Amino acid sequence: MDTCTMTTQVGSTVNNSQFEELYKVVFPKIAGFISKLHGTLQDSKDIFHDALIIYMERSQGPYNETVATPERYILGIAKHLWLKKFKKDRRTISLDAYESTLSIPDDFYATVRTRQLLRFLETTGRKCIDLLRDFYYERSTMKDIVSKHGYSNEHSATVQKYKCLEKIRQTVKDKSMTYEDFFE
Amino acid sequence: MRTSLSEIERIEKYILGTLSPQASLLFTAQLLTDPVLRLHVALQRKVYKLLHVYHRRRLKDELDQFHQRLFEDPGREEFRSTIYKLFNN
Repeated sequence: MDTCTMTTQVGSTVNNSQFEELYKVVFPKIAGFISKLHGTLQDSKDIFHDALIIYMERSQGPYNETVATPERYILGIAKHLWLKKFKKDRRTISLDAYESTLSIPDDFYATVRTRQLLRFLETTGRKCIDLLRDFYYERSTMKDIVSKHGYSNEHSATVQKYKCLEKIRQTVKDKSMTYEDFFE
Repeated sequence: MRTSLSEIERIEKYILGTLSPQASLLFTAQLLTDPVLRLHVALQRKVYKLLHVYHRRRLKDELDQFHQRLFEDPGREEFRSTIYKLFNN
């Protein structure tokens, strides 16, 4: 496949050519597996993307040991994701020894409460959550953050980061109806 | 930085485990006697969880855009037809 026409901003955890390669090699396999279970192309895309996200997280975290090869891992996780969605297929899908050791992260499916809170934050504090996402997840350098978000220097970006944390923390507090909300 | 912001920074370091051993010990001791600090720590943990969910959601949007480009790119006809064939039975 020609890689030069495809540019993307998918995270920074998997680089473009790696990502392109995964799409080329693994996606047809996922689609093959899901079509046999009478799933749709849309289902395949969703499951593949979720599995990719879990792979990106685990291949660089302290979970490194669970990733045999990207392909094996993503296919295995995709099976788990499908089973989670369609429990009735439990008898149709067999997991091999390696696949049985895999699991979906506990926090992968956000609770209704979390989704509501996030929706609220996305409408009231988008700038803040985007800034914090860059700080924690995009592995941006301080320099990048300063220029991308238009701060005058690193100090003011840092101050803004803590102000944003404070603001969101306050929102979480105001919106938490019960004690359990933030201990779930 | 304001005191409240310094507290947030300290809580962040505690949560991420980047406080010095001495500062961490002090912080743990403070947690035992300060219920407001305990609440702030719990709330701040929740903020990081929310950011994680947000990050995953944005990643999914980005992957969707990538997928769309892939399925619209004239140069990728072969790839597409391989996929479409799977769903045409």
